[in-house]
Amino acid sequence: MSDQQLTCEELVEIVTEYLDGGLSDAERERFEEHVVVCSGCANYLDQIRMTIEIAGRVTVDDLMEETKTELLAAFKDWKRE
Amino acid sequence: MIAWKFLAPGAMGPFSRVTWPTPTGDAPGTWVEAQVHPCTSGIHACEVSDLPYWLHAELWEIELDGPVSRAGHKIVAPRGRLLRRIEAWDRNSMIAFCQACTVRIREVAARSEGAAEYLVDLEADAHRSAAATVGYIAAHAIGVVDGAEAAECERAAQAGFLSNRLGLDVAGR
Repeated sequence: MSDQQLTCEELVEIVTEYLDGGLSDAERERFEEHVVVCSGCANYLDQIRMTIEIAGRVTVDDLMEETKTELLAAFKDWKRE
Repeated sequence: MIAWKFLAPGAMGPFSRVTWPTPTGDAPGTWVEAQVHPCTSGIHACEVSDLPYWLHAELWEIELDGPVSRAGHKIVAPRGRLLRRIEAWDRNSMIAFCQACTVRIREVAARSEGAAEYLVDLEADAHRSAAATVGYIAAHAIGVVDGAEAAECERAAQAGFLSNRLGLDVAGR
């Protein structure tokens, strides 16, 4: 049992896959068993869910021109890396 | 089949975020259906032995219908409905659960420095009645000292405590 428990660091690395439904059955169970016993990771998961929910409501028209420019520049730099 | 299900406050699935239809008067909650895929979908529930792994704010008795399969520390069915809330699972029971775990770990800590280190964390979590965390630390600490089989025995002891304390009738279910 103890050998299979995820660490908090491992959980943070796979949280996106978890929310996308990309984990195997066993990985998903390990993820959820960890969240049940770790209040820090439970809070983290809540925050990520909330961020996705709020960000998902933003449309291009909601963004200020300055923000659009900054985002486009950031993505261009990210692509170069 | 009758089983049990832990939910977040307001009868909400802790992971699915689905709010379950609750019983009204003598009538059970309405059936909730889901395609069965052991971990990602289906109606998840616990047999008594699974309870310590999923402790949460509310405990409900649930009726499962259709083929029931086991998936790790839970069982899965195509549909289920809530029958009644186990009111005995309250703050007092959480405290009692934490105390029972603490007593067992103190016994192990008395003969092992390895377990003594975990006792500090366990007592801190017991102080805030974090039953799920306390149960995990207890099993982990015993596992470190006495091996995986002893950890499983600790989980079984926790399940037994819950069954007795909450009056979960497992006969014929």
